[in-house]
Formats: sequence, structure tokens, C-alpha cells
Amino acid sequence: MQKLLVLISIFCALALPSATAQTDYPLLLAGSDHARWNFTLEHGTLSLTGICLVRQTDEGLVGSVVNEFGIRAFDFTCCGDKVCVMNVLPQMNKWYIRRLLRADLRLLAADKAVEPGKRRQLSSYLPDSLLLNNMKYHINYRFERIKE
Amino acid sequence: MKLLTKYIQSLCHLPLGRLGGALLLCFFVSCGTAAAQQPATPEQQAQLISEINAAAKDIQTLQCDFTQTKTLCIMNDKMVSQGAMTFAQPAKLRWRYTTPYDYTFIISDDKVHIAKGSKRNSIDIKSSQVFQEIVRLMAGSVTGRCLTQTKDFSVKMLIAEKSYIAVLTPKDKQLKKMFQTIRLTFDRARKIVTTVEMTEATGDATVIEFQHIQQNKPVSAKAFSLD
Repeated sequence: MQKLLVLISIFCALALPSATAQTDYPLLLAGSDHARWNFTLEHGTLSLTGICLVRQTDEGLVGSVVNEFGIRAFDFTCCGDKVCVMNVLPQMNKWYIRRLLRADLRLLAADKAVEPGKRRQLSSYLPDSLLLNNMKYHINYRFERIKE
Repeated sequence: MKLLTKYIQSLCHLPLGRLGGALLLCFFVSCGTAAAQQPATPEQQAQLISEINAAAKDIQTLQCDFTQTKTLCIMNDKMVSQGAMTFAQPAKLRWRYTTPYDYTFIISDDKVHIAKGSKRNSIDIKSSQVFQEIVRLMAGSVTGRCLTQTKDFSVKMLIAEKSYIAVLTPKDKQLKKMFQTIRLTFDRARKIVTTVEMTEATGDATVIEFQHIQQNKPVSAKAFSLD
């Protein structure tokens, strides 16, 4: 009986940390359920700047990219590793752009590490920064944290 | 509620009960609300637009602080930014955000200059139809001259106690996809814009409130350069 109780205790000690493990979103900071980033999208000579706001929800992650004047570029949600992009700025609202954004944002918004593959690279170039390269289409997404 | 019902009963000598009292209360409240913003008659509207346009012509320079509040329904959150604006006729504008990000947007001499952090960019307005439209819209919104840009917007004027409100509905297809309405609130005495409210089709809104507005004070030419 004693041996059984010891075994159960060992099992619980091993299982509990996994059950309560925190999800690890690159766009969120440790211990926080929301973040704001200075956002830049670069493609050749084109550069789009704005603010990226993200918040953790019960289902996963929800985010919005707006420019400095408050005009929204797009919203996105992520549940598991499935990303949805919606409310896209009319000038950007093409199926191939939405598909590209979904695929690229997966690396940043999924709740578990997603293999970047050969086409994408995720790195950090400054403290509190993220750089996502889409090497196939030569697009860079830069995120620099806005300190609150 | 009981006191109001009794008061109304004493006036009308009618037994109202709770439902009647509630209905009358709703009636008085709705009347009160309606009185706060009355739609202008066509004659009043024409008169107001003429007065605002005349006041806009008198604006040589404008300087103010602003607070911009962006409501994001999907985020259940607001983003509040603050900054300062400087305007000089005919279409020189400096729009600078200071918190929570540093961003400067300048329109001057047919060029748009943008600075964010250490990055700077200049765009020739003449080479871009989009930027020409943006410049026209911004300069027009700040002064109120957009009320006469009838090819871009249909305008409805509302009269409130201390202000005039212009509700602009875009006519342009691209602009319609972005904005449902743009509301400009004018100070009744000075006839200058004090609030700009842009409502998107999704229900999100951006409200820009101008504070400490100074009109026709000298403005240095350096204000419209990034140096």
C-alpha cells in the first residue's frame, strides 16, 4: 500500500508540471497576457509601419495591426496553430495576401513551436524585438516592443 | 420613478401605474436626448457650412495637442496615443505622436515626410494619387473645409448646445470600405474642429480630440521639416 502511494505521488509530481505548463507565444512576453509592438513590414523598397496589439484569450491569441493613425491593416486570431486573418484593409484584401499572412503569422502566434521550414526564419535583432523573414518572397516583419 | 409618476399623475389626473410611468420617463428622456443634437434644416445647414467655410479661410495657423483613442472591438481594448499638431495655410501639416510611440508625419511643399524612430522617408505627393487624396482629406478635416468637398462626402449637420456636428458619409468606393462615417465636431463660437471621429464598417472607431487650440499664432518654418 505504501509503495502504491509513493508511486502515485511520483506520477503526480511528474504529470502536474506538464498539465500546468504555460503556452509560449513569441508575440507575448513571459508572465503577461498582452503586448504592444512597433511593427514594420518590409518588402523591397516598400515599408509599412504600424502598431501590433496582441492579447491572450481562452481560445488562443487575438491580435490587430493598425497604422499610427489608427487605420487597421488587419486583425488575426490563432487557435492552436490555426491562424485566421480578417477585417483586412481593402487595398490588401486579396486571397494570396491573406494566405501569406496566415502562413507567416503561424510562427509568431501559434501556441507551440512551429517549424519555420526553409522559407522562413525567426530571430531577434535587438532586446525585446522579433524579426520574421519570409525568404521566398523577401518580406521582413519587424516587431519592437512598446514599453508600457 | 415613483416620484416622477406621482408628479405626472398630479398634472394629468390620470392613474398611470408603473408601466405608464416608465413609458413617460422614456418619452422625456428621449426628448431630452433628441434636444441635445437637432438635425439642421437645409437652410440652416447651408448657412452653417458657409460660416464654417468662412472661418476656415481665416485660419492661417493652428496649433494644438491631441489625444487619439482607437477602439478595437476584436481586442476588447483601446489604444490611446497623444501628440501635437501644427497647421499652416494652404496645406502644411505637422502631425506628431509622442506617446506611446514616436512618429512624425509632415506635409509640406508637395512632399510627405515620415519619421519613426531613426527611420525617415520622403514621398513626392505629385507622384501618388493616394497621397494627394490623403493630403486633401487631412487638411480639409483639420480646418473643416472638407464640408464643401461634396464629390467626396455627403454631409449632414447637427446642432448641439455648444457645438455643431458634421456627419460625413464617404461617396468614394475605396473610402466607403474603410469608413462608415466621419464626424467632425466644431466649437460653436470659434467654428473650428475640436473632435474628429472616424467609424469603420466593423464598428471600430478612432476619436481624435484636440486640446489647447491656438489659432493664428506665429509658426516657425522649421516646424514643417524633419530637421
